[in-house]
Amino acid sequence: MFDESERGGESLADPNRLEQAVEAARRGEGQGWTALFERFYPDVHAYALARLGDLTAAEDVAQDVFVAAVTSIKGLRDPREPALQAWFLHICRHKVIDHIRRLNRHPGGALRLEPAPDPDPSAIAETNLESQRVRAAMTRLTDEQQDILVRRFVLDQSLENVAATTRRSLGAVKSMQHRALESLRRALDPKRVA
Amino acid sequence: MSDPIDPVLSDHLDAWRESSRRAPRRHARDRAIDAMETALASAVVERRTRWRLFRPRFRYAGLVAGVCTLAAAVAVAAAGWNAPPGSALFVVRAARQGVMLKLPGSDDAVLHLQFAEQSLTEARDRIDPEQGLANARTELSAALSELMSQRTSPLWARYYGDERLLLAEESQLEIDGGSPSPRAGQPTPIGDGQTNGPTQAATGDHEDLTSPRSSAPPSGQGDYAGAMISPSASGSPRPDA
Repeated sequence: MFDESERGGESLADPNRLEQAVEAARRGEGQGWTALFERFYPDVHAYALARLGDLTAAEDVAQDVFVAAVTSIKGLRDPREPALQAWFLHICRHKVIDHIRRLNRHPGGALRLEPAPDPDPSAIAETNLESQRVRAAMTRLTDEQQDILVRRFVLDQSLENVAATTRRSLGAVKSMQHRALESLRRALDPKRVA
Repeated sequence: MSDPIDPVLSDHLDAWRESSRRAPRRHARDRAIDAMETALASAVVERRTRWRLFRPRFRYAGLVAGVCTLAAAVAVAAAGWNAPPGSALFVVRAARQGVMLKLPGSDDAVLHLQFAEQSLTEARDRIDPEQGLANARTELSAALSELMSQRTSPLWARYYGDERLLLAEESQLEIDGGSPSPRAGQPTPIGDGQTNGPTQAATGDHEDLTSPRSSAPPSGQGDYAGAMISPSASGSPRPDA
């Protein structure tokens, strides 16, 4: 059902192809789902990893997102790319929240950050250290603030895009981002704030 | 567009971004595809199974419901086809008569007379005679309205006969102690000089009243003298008026 030859997310640059993939996915055709997976799996994975900091957990969440998408694509109204990406990220956000709740119920399963295969272990360690500090500081932010920061600084979405996909006004997104960054800065460097 | 970010914070965000944007591991990606494929296959099977399970149920349930509804409708129609007045199914008979009158090509005068005669028969059989006579009166009134445009129709004789029978039955009902009908006690219309009114009806001699009067049918030249039409009851003018 999922041939390697069909796995071509790049071919979905054409909006019509993406809409065709959505229609195929709605009909339950594997080809459509392959195309959607290739296009949105990296974003979903990045979102989950940015929020959780645990590579294995992020992979599990990303997998759960596409399994959930299979059963809920009938409710998708807008097949265009921004709405489609927002739909996948919306599912991912809820999966992340579910995962965090499960962790809170079972504290033994602590988040872990697994190093990626990279030729420079020291650089990885430094990057991981900084990112872990950021994630630790982000736990002080609200879920919505974390969502905004991931979209803006990990997925590189514009303010307008974030406003459109989260159904907020541009001013509200700006304000929320400002407060989130301020909270993050205070959490990262409390001495400097003092 | 947005406020400038603190350089230190920007470095932290860059590190966060870099660690988050790392490529997914191949085996995790393949595992996700397998899981999605399994979910897709399950969804398809579930959809087919659901149809397979529910379709026959709905089909049989619909068939049974349809047959039951049809049988019930036929039973009600059959029971109410000639339901007597006062019966709960009389509405069926009234509906049937209404449909017969609205059918294209139906002779409304004949139908009204037929319905009136049926009601008179029921009144004679003492099946809710008050209601039966009221129905007969209504039907005769309607028949009169239809006959007004058919001055030479042979149905006039039948109408006169029915009306005399109605008067006789009303008188009989009054004598028997029933509540007086609106027409009871009214002077009998004078026809051809022969009195066929309450006095004769009270004797119970009804048989001769059912036969149309020989002199009753209008001649077509406006000779309606003696026509026994009761304007007070039917609200209709005399045919020659």
